[in-house]
Amino acid sequence: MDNISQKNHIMHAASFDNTWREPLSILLGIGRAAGADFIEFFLQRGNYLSALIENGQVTAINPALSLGAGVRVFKGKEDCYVSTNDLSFKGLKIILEKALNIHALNLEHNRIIPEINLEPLRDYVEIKEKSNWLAQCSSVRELCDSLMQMNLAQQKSTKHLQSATTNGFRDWQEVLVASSEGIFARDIRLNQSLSTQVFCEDGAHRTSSHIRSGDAANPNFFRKINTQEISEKLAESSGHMLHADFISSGNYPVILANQFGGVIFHEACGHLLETTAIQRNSTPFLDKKGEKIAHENLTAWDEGSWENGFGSIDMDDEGMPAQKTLLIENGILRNFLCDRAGHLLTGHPRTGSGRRQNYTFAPASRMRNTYIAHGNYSKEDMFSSIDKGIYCKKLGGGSVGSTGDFNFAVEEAWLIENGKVTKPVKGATLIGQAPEVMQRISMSGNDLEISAGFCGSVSGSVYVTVGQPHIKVDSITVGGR
Amino acid sequence: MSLQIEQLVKETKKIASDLNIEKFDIFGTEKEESSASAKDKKPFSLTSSIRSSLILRVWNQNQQMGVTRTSNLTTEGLSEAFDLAKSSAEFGSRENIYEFSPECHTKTMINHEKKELKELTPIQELMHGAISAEEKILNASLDFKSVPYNKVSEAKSSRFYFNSEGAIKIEENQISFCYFYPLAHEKDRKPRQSGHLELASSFANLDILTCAEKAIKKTKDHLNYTSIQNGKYPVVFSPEAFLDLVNAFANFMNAQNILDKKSLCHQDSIGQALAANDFCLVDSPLHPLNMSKSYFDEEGTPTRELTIIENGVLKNFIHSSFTAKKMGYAVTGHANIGAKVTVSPHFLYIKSSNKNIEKKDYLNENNLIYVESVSALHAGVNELQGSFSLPFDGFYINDKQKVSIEAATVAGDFLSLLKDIYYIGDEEFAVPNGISPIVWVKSLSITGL
Repeated sequence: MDNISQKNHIMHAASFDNTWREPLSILLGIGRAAGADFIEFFLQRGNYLSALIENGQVTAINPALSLGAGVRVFKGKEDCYVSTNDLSFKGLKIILEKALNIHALNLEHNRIIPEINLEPLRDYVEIKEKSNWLAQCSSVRELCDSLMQMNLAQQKSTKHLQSATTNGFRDWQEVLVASSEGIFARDIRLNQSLSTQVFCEDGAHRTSSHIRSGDAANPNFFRKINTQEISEKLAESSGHMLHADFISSGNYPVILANQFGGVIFHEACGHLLETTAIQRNSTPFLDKKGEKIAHENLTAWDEGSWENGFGSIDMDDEGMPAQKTLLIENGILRNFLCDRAGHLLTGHPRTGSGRRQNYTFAPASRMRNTYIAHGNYSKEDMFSSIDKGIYCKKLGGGSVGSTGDFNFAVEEAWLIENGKVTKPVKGATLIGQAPEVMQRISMSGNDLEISAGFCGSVSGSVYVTVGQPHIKVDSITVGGR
Repeated sequence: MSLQIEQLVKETKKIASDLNIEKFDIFGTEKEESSASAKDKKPFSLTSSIRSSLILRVWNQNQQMGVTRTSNLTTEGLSEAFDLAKSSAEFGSRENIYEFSPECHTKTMINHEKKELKELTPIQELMHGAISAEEKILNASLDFKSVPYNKVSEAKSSRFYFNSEGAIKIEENQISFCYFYPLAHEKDRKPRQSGHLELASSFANLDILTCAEKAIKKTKDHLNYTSIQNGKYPVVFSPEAFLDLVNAFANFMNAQNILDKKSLCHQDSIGQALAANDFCLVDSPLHPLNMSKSYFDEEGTPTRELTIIENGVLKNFIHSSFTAKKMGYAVTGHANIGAKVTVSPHFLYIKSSNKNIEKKDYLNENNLIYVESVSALHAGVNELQGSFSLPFDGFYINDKQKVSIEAATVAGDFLSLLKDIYYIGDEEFAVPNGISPIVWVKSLSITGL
């Protein structure tokens, strides 16, 4: 053991390449020799940059560098996770020993330490030609110029403007996974996002409106922003909402717009289909696989590697290649989203869904690009089926609790009267019970679109895509004034 | 803690000198933490970490400032961070010049707490605590099938600030907490969940079993539930719920938000009546009951008690050194450094200035809503618009009966709510996010399922 800790391991600090094979193999061997059933190292390096433009001025350039590692050790069905910033051999060995100690495991003196036979480096950086991504991204100057152009367009387009904010970020992340089962895999992820917001005030009337777009695996994202289209949409939305009346609370039939409307499925159902929820006994769908849990018109997917999807990954944070997972087919629950711990504890097959924000979190089963598949109805079919209801054109964030009760905010809502969209209303919140509402999604449109978002849960905040066509919910409770 | 600040000061000075950087400052943290949770009377999730990170600001010859955050504190990592901050300074504002705090000239090391930090408790003890509490909860009622959210944790942390002029500030803290949120399933009824969070200065002082008992009581209180008719009701907020709401709309006291025109207030709002005339709000970072007290902000400015609202009238905004200079006020010790310095409150303390008012007990009222906790603030609060529509756990009070409400939202306008406060309880409660009595509001919209 002492010989090992004194050995001068030379791992390349600047890249998670093959130089990490030997030291990680030895550490994994130490863990196995001590009696752990499974050990997994996760190394991560990050290079993040964000820029903020407010009312025509660059007010913040925020670069951030990160480097860290975590080790997860399983003994039977129990696991623990220890993380550090110290990526030296000694630093990694300290966290391994700490994790072994948590399981009351120690390496006996003179015990033979097996070297774990890791697979040849499965390098998605080489396979998918990602090594130049960081260099190909917009420079700080280019980023500022793109955002400034956007911000000036917002100012020009928006009436009663108090402030116009434009924010953009690029998040580059290199990860390496090595486990005692022989996994040795490296990947680079690139996520970029633009967020624009206007705040308008006219006497006592106030409103704010925002649009976010995001992309993964595309270094040219900021070079292809449609400034005109975004600023006009923002101005139109804030213009409608500034003088809108508050909605009266009650139960209404509701049409949810496509794109970010998919957040209803994400919150009301998606989280409850993660095996993390089964592990905590906190999903009403726990034993419903193969049963009808939604309206027969509803089919839903979670895709790991949708081209440029904000939640796309080539491998998950446990080194498993991403998959396309059918969640619900014509109302029948087909699969849960499952990571390693979920598989061990619930028996569901792994789906390449083990994700985490960074090395400070153990992975958990998480959504990636989740959407309701398109149906056959046109928007006109849906609107004409409603005498009095609500059109939720733009949704905000939401959440779901262990009881299945969910809620989310509506940023832009309109009244539907006699089949027609009539006037804007503000202050609406949709609330309901997931199992009940899933049975009430009676119409799916033919206009599936997706939208970028962030999802916070037990393993931190991860990038996701939500999506759906226009859908009709026969009845939902709308909180208002 | 393992980080040697003196060594870090020496090392960063050398790196700065090699890169011809004359002016810089650094705020950093180091944290060692362990936590455990239980499931079915067995260990469920055990985590431990030792982490440090810092944010570095450098100024160029034109007084433009650039920043970099990093968790790579090796010599190579620090050099890379200095280099990156120097490059980003070229994009720093020429109009809005950031400077060192006028109240941070301490040349010596200060550990304000001067308390001996204990070694962190072995994680096995945290685990036993979590398992015993979970067992106690599961045995308390046949309806309690699981405790999906439970954790026992202890952490030691240090915060430090130093700058190229020789100011150095360091403080250390230790904190422990636990929470338990049981899920109860009654036959033919919807599942119900509630729970409790407890904080203490260390694991040794943490009363885990009392926390479990409070979680049991709160969850049992919600078993017998009823739906609520939609409409307007007088609403009584618990201390936690009211403080959550005030923190969610803290832009009204935030000087940076005011300069950015992203606040419910304006520069000339000082002196104006914002709330009911006996409503007082103080930010009290050094209050003895604040478990996470900080003696200096991220610019090294000493923190202090600051009156925000007195007798309903707005008295002060919270400031960084930049906003204070820009608006002509003294610094208040509320800065968070970054490429753009932001400000935020520390530990809010709400009280009434009218001690002679006749005491009220909400249990004696009719047709009233008691809001125990609000949730989903990230989704249900529109802080720029001033409106909120939030799911809550609470009770319907009528005929001396207190019945849990099935599922509902409370909605309103924050500034109107402050003016509609008609009674502030005389008993103050210390909760994790501040100190407050219960607060009564005339009328808010309630929507039930």
